[in-house]
Amino acid sequence: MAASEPIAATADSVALRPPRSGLTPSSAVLIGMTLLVAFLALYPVGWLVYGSFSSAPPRQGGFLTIQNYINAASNPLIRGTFWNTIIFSFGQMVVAVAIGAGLGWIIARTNTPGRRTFELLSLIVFLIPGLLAVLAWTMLLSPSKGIINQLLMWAFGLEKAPFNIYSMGGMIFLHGVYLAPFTYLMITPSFVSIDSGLEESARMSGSGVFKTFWRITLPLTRPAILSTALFMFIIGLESFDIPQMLGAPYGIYVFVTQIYTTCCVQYPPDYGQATALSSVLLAAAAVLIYFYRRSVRQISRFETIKGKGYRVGAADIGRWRWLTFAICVVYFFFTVVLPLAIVLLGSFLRFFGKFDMEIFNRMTYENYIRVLAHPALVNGFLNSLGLAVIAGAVCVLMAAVVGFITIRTRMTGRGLLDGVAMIPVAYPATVLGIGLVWAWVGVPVPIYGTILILAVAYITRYVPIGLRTVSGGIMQISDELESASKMSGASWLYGFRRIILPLMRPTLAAAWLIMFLLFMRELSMSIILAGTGNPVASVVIFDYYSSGELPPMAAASVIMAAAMIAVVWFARSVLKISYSDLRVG
Amino acid sequence: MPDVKITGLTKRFGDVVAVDAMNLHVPEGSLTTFLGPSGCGKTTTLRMIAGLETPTEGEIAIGNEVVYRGGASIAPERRNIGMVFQSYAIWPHMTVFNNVAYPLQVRRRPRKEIRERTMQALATVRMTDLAERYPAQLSGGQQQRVAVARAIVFQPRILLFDEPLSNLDAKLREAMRIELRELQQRLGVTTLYVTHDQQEALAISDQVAVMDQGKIVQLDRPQSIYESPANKFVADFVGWTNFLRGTISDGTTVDIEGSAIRCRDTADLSRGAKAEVTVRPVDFRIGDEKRPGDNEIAGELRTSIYMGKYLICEVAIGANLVQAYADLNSNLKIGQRVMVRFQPDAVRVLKI
Ligand SMILES: Nc1ncnc2c1ncn2[C@@H]1O[C@H](COP(=O)(O)OP(=O)(O)O)[C@@H](O)[C@H]1O
Ligand SMILES: [Mg+2]
Repeated sequence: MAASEPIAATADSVALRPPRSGLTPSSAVLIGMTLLVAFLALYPVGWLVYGSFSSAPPRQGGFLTIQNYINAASNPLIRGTFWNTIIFSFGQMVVAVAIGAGLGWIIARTNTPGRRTFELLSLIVFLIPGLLAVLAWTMLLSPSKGIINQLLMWAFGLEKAPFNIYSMGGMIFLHGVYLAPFTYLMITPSFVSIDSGLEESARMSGSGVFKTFWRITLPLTRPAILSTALFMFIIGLESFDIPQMLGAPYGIYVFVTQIYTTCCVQYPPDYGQATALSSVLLAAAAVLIYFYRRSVRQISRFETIKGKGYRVGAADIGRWRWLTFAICVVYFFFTVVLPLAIVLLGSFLRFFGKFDMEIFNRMTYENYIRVLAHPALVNGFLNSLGLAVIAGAVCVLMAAVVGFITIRTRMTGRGLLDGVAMIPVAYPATVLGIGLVWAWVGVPVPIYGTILILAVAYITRYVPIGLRTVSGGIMQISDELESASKMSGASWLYGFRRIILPLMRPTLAAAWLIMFLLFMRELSMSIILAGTGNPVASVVIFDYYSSGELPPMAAASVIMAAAMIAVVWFARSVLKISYSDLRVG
Repeated sequence: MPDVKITGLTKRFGDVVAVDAMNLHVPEGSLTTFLGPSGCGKTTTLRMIAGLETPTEGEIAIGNEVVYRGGASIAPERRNIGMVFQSYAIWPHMTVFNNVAYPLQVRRRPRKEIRERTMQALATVRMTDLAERYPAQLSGGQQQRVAVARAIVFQPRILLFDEPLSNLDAKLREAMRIELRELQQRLGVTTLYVTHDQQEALAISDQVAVMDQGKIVQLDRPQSIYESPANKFVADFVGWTNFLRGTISDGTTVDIEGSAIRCRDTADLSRGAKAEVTVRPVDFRIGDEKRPGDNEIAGELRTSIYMGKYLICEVAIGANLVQAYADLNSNLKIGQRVMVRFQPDAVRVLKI
């Protein structure tokens, strides 16, 4: 019977093969990839630091000097900017962490009704771009046009608008509220990992729902919360959209917006000061990121081995669950429902700011027709889509190769590759944008002023995030799955095609979706690098805001949101990406 | 079926010596077990035989083919070795059928033959009915069977098992153990089997290699390992838990705490040499009744624990604390002086 004869793995005779020396294909990939990510990460920042010591703008000669730093330090704005930056970063951090930790506790540790829905909603809040949030809240809380202000003035007969979104308070509020879901995503794992027995025994010892939260749950998650808080502080430090739109026009500058103003708004631009300030900000961000990563390492070191009887579960908090339910409803009403409704309404109005019973009769499609006839917006859309799809895929591919080499091989030099690929984590987007200007302006290759510079910027900045997203997926594919393929007689390539690639597909698709969404909304770098020759949607929409054209901006935002929702829907139903694959932190 | 010869095999990870100059011969058609505590180098040895790990030194031959020598190696995919992994390593995106058919698909066999052989392998592990299932729909035991079917489907020269039963619950483990042994004997394939469970090793092996810190400390038939452990480590590992320090008096007597203890032999130790004496708790009896030839040694009762059919007592004999069995009706008080009795045949003398 044929089935009992042994069969050789290969027809040719098997022979001992001496170890390969020299450049193997895999080490060529490793070296090539290391050089590529090193170039992307270091070239622009090298120029940035050089520029900060140069007496002249890019490619215009000059000599080395520290004059730029002196100029930046003696700028009359700088003192205010410094304190604004601290107050803003800290304030929004407190708001984001308080709301995020609250949401985390409610969703992970209590039996509040509708927890699954709230979980999904927090993902939606997370996806709302800053531009859209600012637009909506301008429409709600601007002193002159804001609908809430007008309603309150009318109802209580006030002379003056009670709220002003164009203020430090407005910036802190909006930034904190919209970043809270991100905090929530970062903190939740530590809430989920608490043994419910610890809480239950506190309840049995006579402590109530909130006392248990305060005395047991919160201290257990304190390291995670503190480390998340540090991360949120860094995000605040690097944030551009909200401070630029709500603060800068009214003279409230933070570091990032002052850099932007110095290099891209004022005339003539002062590249020297901008690069000097950028270098300082970069150094601060690098130091903070270092401490952040150290704190994360410490948390994982303190994570205890879970013994038997370990149980994760939601605590029954009795009638308090209706209070927590109400808190969630209010939060999501003010972050999702109301803003989206007002933007949708605004997109159909000819003029925003007058509200009466006639408003629905004055609705018109005009704004949509106008923006769709606006060549910059249409081109910007097409460019953004192209970048998000193609550069997003390139970014994921690079992240996958780096992740695969670092996690799945034992090649020498893989640690270096990983380290180099993660460097841009420390780059504030604005700083990277300015560095890229310095690096490429006037260089006789068609990169600056084309869509390529945007692709380079996006990929450079987001490879680390892509890497973190795919790493989890790659780690889940155990080594033995690959070994089993080898033992079955398969070559590396055959196993890669039939085992590794299919298993990585969901991870890669999810990472691509994240890149798509991030690239579509990117503003901080795009606003520095995109011009008339290479417009992108976010910058064109931002320009509507600068010129005060809220209704067309609303229409463009609705179109953009619709496109993004369509892609997410496509990803969910056709590519079968599940929400749990969408890891960011 | 070929045999396996390992000569001077060494593997170092940095400063850690995982496998230390190992020599081993696995006779053809036999089942040889690596038995040892976690971290003693069992998996590393197995992976070097498989070709998944490159040895630091040494030589590995399967039959008369050298598969590793002096840096020159045959790639794992060309070694024709079937391997069952500790995690089973069943590919989650393929059906049971495709998992098992994979090695044949790799070898580009005709469709009909792939089907036949795969179904035959599945029949061998009694999984024919579940061929179209996905791994997520299988129990641990069923996944285990799929892993075995995949390892045998291409008639490998040798089979490797890395703690294949350690993820199963105790009951299933015992059933699978018998099944694997029957399968191995039916196929007659030379097999290397890794486990840290001494019962498992004793139950299924033709020969057991007990490992400690990268070295084989005893290589023997299961019965010899159990009956005549070569040293304290092996004794401890196969269930000899009572150890007493003593001095050799003559060829059949050891002096412990002033009592002369008779035994079968004294492991070729000369008079006056220090030795370690070991007796299993079951063979240690506390009670009044004295059988002919019994050794006797006095101690102080420290604790006694009710075990249903008998009591387990802890007795201090000089500086040694030992465990002994006592009848339920023996009227014992903590702190009292007791006599521990045992037959000379139950005593093993070990070199220190
Ligand atoms: N890839 C590796 N890198 C470094 N050390 C390793 C590696 N694999 C195994 N070791 C070390 O080698 C020793 C033996 O490991 P292993 O063969 O897995 O033991 P066992 O299978 O007997 O539990 C252990 O000390 C382990 O930490
Ligand atoms: Mg092991």
